Amino acid sequence: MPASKDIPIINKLGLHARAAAKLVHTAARFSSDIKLRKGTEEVDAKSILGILLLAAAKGTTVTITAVGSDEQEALDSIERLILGRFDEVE
Amino acid sequence: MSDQREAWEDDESFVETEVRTLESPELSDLSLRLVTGADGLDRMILKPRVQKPGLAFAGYYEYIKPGRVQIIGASEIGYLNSLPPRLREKRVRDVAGLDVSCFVATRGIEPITEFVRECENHSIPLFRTDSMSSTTITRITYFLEETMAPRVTIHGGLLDVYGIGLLLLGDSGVGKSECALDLVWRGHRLVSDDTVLIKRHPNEVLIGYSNDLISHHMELRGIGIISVKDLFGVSSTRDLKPIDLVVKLERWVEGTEYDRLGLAGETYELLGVTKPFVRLPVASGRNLALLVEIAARNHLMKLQGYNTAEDLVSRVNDEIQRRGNEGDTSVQLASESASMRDKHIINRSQHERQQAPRRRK
Repeated sequence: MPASKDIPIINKLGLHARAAAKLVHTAARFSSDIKLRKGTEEVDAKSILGILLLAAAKGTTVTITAVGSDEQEALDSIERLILGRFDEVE
Repeated sequence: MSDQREAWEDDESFVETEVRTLESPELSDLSLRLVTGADGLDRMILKPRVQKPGLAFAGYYEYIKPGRVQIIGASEIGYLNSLPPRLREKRVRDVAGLDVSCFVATRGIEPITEFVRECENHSIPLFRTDSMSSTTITRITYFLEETMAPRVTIHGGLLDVYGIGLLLLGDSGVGKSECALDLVWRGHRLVSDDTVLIKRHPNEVLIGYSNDLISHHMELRGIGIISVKDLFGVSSTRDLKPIDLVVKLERWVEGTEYDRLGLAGETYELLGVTKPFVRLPVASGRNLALLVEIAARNHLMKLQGYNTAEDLVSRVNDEIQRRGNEGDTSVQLASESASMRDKHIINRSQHERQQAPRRRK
């Protein structure tokens, strides 16, 4: 049973480049297969170009799905990062 | 003169050189002839910048710095000749006592007797040349800047990749030589594989030189020492190349964050000069030469004012903002598949490249 969760993008700039880079770095720490879905588009959370392609603005909701031995930790970490506004000063 | 140049001249790291260096064949076009002061040929030149002691002969000694080459032109000699003999003698004696490196009299002017005598007494070399002051100053300054340039020898390779001077660093055994060899195989030119002498020139220029003794040789584990010039021909090597980009091959460390966007803009400092820096993590299966070649190509694009990463990122950010403004967060370009979108991006970037003015970072 894969771990999955809907997470709203709440930071002002949305999933912009540096936020995307942080997301990729976080995802890359886990061995699980992690996907990010927005509407009909689903991308690999470990691919920077994939995440940029989503161009997710503030207010968008993305669905994170993780499959693998550390799926729950992966999901929690990414959720913390997104809800923590990517540690950015706004 | 720019601040950079000032800073360069104030730098204390110039390699001091003896006055006899001026007798180098490289300055043969000036045909410097030693008039007197052979005993003083081992005096040191401390800075490459020469001086004209005109005002000093008028009694203003403040700016005469020790350890400089002093150029005596027609104006200096003319002025001295206009002075009453005793004053002339005093001024010449005072200036000769200021610990200058040597004098060079230009335009073939016959130096006045007091001058020759004082140089002899203080063992200060006095040269004559038929060249004009301006030519002499330019030639000697250029020669000294090169001869005395701050320098360092580093362990690494230097290659000319598409005209980009690429300094290849990395710990021993990380695969620098194989990478350099692969680059030569791809038609790029090797300056040095193992040891590079780097000299700092004015205006932030770093020039890397191969070592004369081991030039263009390479050690390959399991094969031994090879000569790249003999194996690949004369066009595979060059003797020197200004450094534009520093690439470091690093063992891939699990958990280390490497630049994913290409926006990190890291720099590498050498002799007080910073150059763009790229860290390439090495892992089995990575084609290092290809990656280094791509780094060079990407650098070329940046030099031409086009930064791929910045361009793409700003396009994505604009799109995010647009969608945010519309407030319609469910906007989906459903019909547009990812690959179509990619195509769109490529077309746009080509379009923008033609449209956009040259951007420099």
